[in-house]
Parts: sequence; C-alpha cells; structure tokens
Amino acid sequence: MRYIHRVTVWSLALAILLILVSLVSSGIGPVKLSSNLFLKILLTIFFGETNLLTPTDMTILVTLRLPRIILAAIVGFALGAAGTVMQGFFRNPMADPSIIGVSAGAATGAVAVIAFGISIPFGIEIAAIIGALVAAFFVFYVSTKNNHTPIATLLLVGIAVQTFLGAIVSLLLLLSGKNLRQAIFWLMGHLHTANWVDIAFTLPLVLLGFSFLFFFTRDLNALYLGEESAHSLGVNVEQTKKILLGVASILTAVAVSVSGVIGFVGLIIPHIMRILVGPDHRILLPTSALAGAIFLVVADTVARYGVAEIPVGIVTALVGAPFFIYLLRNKGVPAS
Amino acid sequence: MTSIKVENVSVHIDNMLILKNISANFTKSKFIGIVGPNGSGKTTLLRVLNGHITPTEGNVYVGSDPIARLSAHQISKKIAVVPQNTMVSFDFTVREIVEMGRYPYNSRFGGFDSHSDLVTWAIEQTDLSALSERTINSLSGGEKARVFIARTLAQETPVLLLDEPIASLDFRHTSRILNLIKDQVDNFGKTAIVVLHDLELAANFCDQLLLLSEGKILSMGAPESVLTRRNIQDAFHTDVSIETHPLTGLLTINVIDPTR
Repeated sequence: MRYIHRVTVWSLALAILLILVSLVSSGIGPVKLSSNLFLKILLTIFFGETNLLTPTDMTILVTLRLPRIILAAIVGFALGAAGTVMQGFFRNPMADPSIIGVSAGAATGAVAVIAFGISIPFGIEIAAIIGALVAAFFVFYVSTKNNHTPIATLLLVGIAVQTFLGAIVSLLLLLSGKNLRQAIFWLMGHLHTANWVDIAFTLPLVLLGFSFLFFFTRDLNALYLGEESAHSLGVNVEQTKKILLGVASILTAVAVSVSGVIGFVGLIIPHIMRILVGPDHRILLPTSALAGAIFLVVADTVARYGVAEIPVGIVTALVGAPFFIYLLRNKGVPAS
Repeated sequence: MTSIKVENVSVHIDNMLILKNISANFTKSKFIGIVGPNGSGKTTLLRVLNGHITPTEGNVYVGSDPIARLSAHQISKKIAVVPQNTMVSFDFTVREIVEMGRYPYNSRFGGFDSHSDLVTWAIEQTDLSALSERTINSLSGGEKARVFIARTLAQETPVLLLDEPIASLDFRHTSRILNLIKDQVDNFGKTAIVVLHDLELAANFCDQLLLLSEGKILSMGAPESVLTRRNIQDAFHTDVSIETHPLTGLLTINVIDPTR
C-alpha cells in the first residue's frame, strides 16, 4: 500500500501547487488589475460575492488570462505525460515527445496552412494534428518489419524524418511572404491566442489520453527491463508498444496543435520527477503530468510579464536548458 | 501438470537456420540443463520455449495447450524467465524489481497487492536482504543476476527458464543459486530449464542435459550419457578426458591440450 499512499500524497501536493501558481499568475500581466485580486477571486469563487471584481477585472480574467492559464496547464500536463511515456518506452533518458517526428509533423502541417494563407476554422489545429499523426505512423510503419519494431530503428527513422520535415518547414517559411511572422510565432510556441474553444477541444482529449496511459504504467515499468523480460511478465509487447506510442503521439499532437512547438517540457520534467519520486511509472506519470502543467503556467507567466510578448517556447528553453545542465552536473542522470 | 513439449521446431532468423528440427519433452520436476558451444542456438531455444519467438516450423506445447494460442499474460503465470544481460536504464530498487514478479497476478485496473511476504522471501532466498533498498545500477553484475532470479521466484510459476544465470556469479553464489534452483525442483515440483556453460556444474546439478550443436540436438538424456568424450568432441571440437570421482560420483572434465 506504500505505492497508493505515495501517489496520492505527491499528486495532491502538486495539484494544490498548480492551483496556487495559477491564482498568482492570474494577477500578473501587462494590465494592472485591482489590488487584493487573489482575495477577491477567492471570495468570488467560494462565497459568490459578485460585486468585488470590477467589470474590467472580469473581462481580462475571463477572456484573456484564465483561458491562457488553463490552456498552459493542459498543454504542460500533456507534454509532461507524453515525455514520461516516451522516455520509458525508449528506455532512453534523452527521448522526448518529439522523438518520433510528432512535433516536426505538426509544425509542417501548421506552417503549410499559415504560409499558404489558408483560412478555414481550426485549419491550423487540424493540419497540425494530421501532420503529427502522419509523421508518427509513417515512422512506426517504416521501422516495422515482420510485425516487430526494434526501438533503435524507430529512433533513427525518427531522427531522419525530423530532419527531412525540418527542411520542408524552412522551405515553407521562405515561401510564406507576409505570413512569415505568424508562422515563426507559431513555431516558437505560443499561448497568447488561447481561448475557451481551445480548452473545450483539448481538455477532454488530454484527459482521455492520460487515463488510457495511466492503465499501462505497469507495462511501462516492465518494458524498462527489456522486451523479453516484459513478455515473461505477461506484457503483450508489440501491441503495448503500438498503444503507448499511438496515445502519446496523439497527446503531443493535441498539445502542439493549440500551442505550437514548446520544447524541453517533455524532456526535463520527467527527469526532475524521476529524481524526486523514483522511476516507478505508476507514480512518475501522474506527477510528471502535474509538474509539466505547473512548469508551463509559470513559464507562460514569465512570457507575458513585461511589455512585449515573448513566445513561451523561448522561455521554457531559456530556463529549462540551464536548469537541466545544472541537474546533470549535480544529480547525474542514471546512465544507460 | 506443466510440462513443455517441443515438436519438430525449426527457427529461421533473417534467412539463417538457427534451430533445426528440434523435438524434446521437458517433463515436470526436472532440472534440465541446455549445454552447447557459442552460437549453437541455446538462447533461441529458450525464447521459443517461452513464446517470445514463434518458430518457423513446428509446435511448442505448454501442458496440452499450443503456446501460440496462449496470451503473454497466460504464459506469464506458467513460465518465468531470466534473460541474459538485462539492462536497466533507470534506477529501480531491488525490491521494486522483485515486486514486478507479481504483475501477472494483478489487474491493470487496480489490485495493487504486491504480496510483500512472498517478495521478502524471494529476496532472502537470493541473499539480497541487505541490498533490497539499493538501486539496481549500484549493484555488481552477479548481484544483479540474483535480483532477476529473485523476481522469477516471486512470480511463482511451475516452470523456470534461466539463460546463463550463473555467468557472472562468484564461487559461493554459484553453488547457492544452483542449489536454490535444485531445491525448487526437488521440493516444490518445479521444472527448471537452464542454459549453462560450465559442463561440470551442468553434469553435477542437472537431472537431464540437452546438448545442442549447430542448431540440432546432438544428445539428450542423463548427464553421463550426454557428456561423453565423443559427444563433446563433436560439439566443441575439443578433446577431453572425463573422470568420475570414485566416492562422490562427481564428474570432472579436463581438456587434453594437443600442444602439450
């Protein structure tokens, strides 16, 4: 029962931290809202006091800040979970959600729509998801021979496809003319366009995908020890690989489709959590997802603090990379 | 109840014939050693026995069921495996890895009973109690090997398949582990099928030996009938002298050095 106790305590603590961080974040931004905002928000939520917040406060909170904070949390949650699964699946601490070409595929789809100025509702989101899934399944299909998918082949094909798609994106950027700025903003990861529709679209998919993965955490533990070991512990290896890779790719695709390519969350968050809670996926997966949400809410708060808007992908990389190097030097990452 | 039968099994991997027309019956309550030179197909045979590799031709039966009809989950309640050189990239503790032996008995949707008495017993049996909270990557090769043997004990299966379990063990633990396996066979009715390199140990611990050479069974049966000078010469292309100790009955095999 040690396990249930640990997963509950960690998840609750992180969930509370996420709520606190979100409350603080809602008071930060280019527009100064009325003083004692947190207190007023709390009174409004818990006691139904309607006249504490001014109409300006309400408008900014409801149409700008809240959707943005919630979307950041959803995207961070998805990237943290997908990163954990990818690292476990590939038995490789360098893996992240983009490793099998998901992000590159999404970028290609979205940039194509932006570059050619196609404007249909949800055009960018749909193109990003299609691009991501086509890339992921192409990589998986090419790497599979005789119903067997060696992990090393998968990684190498993933790298080749990423490089190829990177070239396509560069080409599209050259052709994009007046849409260049929008395309680059998309590529760098952004949350400033967040709205309630994005949330309604991503939240159910992300929660569904996460719950699915959660039921496979034991199989991931077994896969850590190699496919032969996993098979002998009762894991249907090839089927489980397809499910894990498919669901993790969909999670990443959904996140990337609304936020652009946000690097580093899926790479460093599982590492930090592995140092804190250990490698057992039954604890690692939920805690990494929550930690990813917290990290992205904080990073996005930094991104919109100040006069000019910075793409959040720049913040995650600027903060994430040095912190990661610090961790490597001081804590060390288990060598494979 | 659980015996494993192999019928006319051939395995091709990348158009190479690895196993050729193997038929054998591994009966209950026997300690069976698989011996043979490097590349003779020992590991492949073990993988066929646990269903990890599907043979190109022939059938494998677990009890009366063809193994191809059993799911990995059904097999995992009958056969436990210690593969060769298991690499672990992340730092699980010894106890966490032994607990994985209980996975086949727990449902995916809850039931997190890790059966801690059994896990503790398996850890004690393999002399790992002092190391149980250490991380796997801080252990030596021989200690790691014992962790995976402990996991198969926790898995409580009637059949154990071990691929060179003593390859990296020291003198003391070699005999301790082989005696442990023998105890499981003699007193708990298990069937152990073990790949071994040391012919003397194989002869002195196993009830039955299976000598593989170039993917074929060269000989199978009681150790003294399998490990003859002739068979060893055919399989290993090495001349040996074989002696049985008059009092202990233990077999000694010495290489006759042609240059001397």
